Amino acid sequence: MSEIFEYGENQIKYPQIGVKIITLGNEYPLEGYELMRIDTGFDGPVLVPYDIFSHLCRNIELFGEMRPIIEFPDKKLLRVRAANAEIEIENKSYDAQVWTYPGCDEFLVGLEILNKLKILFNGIDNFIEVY
Amino acid sequence: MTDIQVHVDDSTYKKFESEIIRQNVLFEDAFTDAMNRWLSKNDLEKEKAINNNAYKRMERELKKKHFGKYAVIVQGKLTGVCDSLKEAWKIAKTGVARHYLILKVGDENKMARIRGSAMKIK
Repeated sequence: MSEIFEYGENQIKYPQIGVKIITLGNEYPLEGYELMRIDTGFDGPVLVPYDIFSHLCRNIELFGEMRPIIEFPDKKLLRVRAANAEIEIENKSYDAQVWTYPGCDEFLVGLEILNKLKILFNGIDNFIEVY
Repeated sequence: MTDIQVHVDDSTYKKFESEIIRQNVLFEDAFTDAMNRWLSKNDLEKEKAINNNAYKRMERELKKKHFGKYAVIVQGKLTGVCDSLKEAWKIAKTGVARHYLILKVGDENKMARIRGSAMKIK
């Protein structure tokens, strides 16, 4: 079983995969999945926009030293908001964390999740196949 | 019913008023809703603090006995320890609380790098 996610058209410039986030009594999106950008340059799990996180995770948010730190390209360090969640990709579920920070407005899937997946990147035909 | 007179920020009030007109609701209903939301947010923060303090109290013991497992803390009490998030959701769902501290014991000070992607700090 595998699923194909095309990119390069309809404003989907970068390779993306469909992801569903399940938390305590909440899930995002409610139907289907959200296309999230594959980012091998991010070695964390899943990053979501700040407002989505606030809605999805506010009742299970972690605190203090349990909140992870992101190092940005300019070496700036930031302790981000985080919560544990189930990440569903291609009908498989992974226990991981969802992160965000003020001003974050993008969905990213980082290496922590990507390293659990078998993905075929077909740059010639502009699609990603997740097995 | 209580009559009140308050001085509020002009621009915030204008936005509030125009939204009330747009949604065609009574001012008192919108204001009561806003007060309830604010109170509810405070309750969430209080519960968060209670759960966080409880974890700090039991942190050493949890790390000693349950390192790598999921712990569920609700209203300041450890309600369960389990192997997966699915089990943790089940344990947490039995309670009626505003905040549930669901954590992987020992999973702290995680660090990740973003190397030159489109991300930015606003």
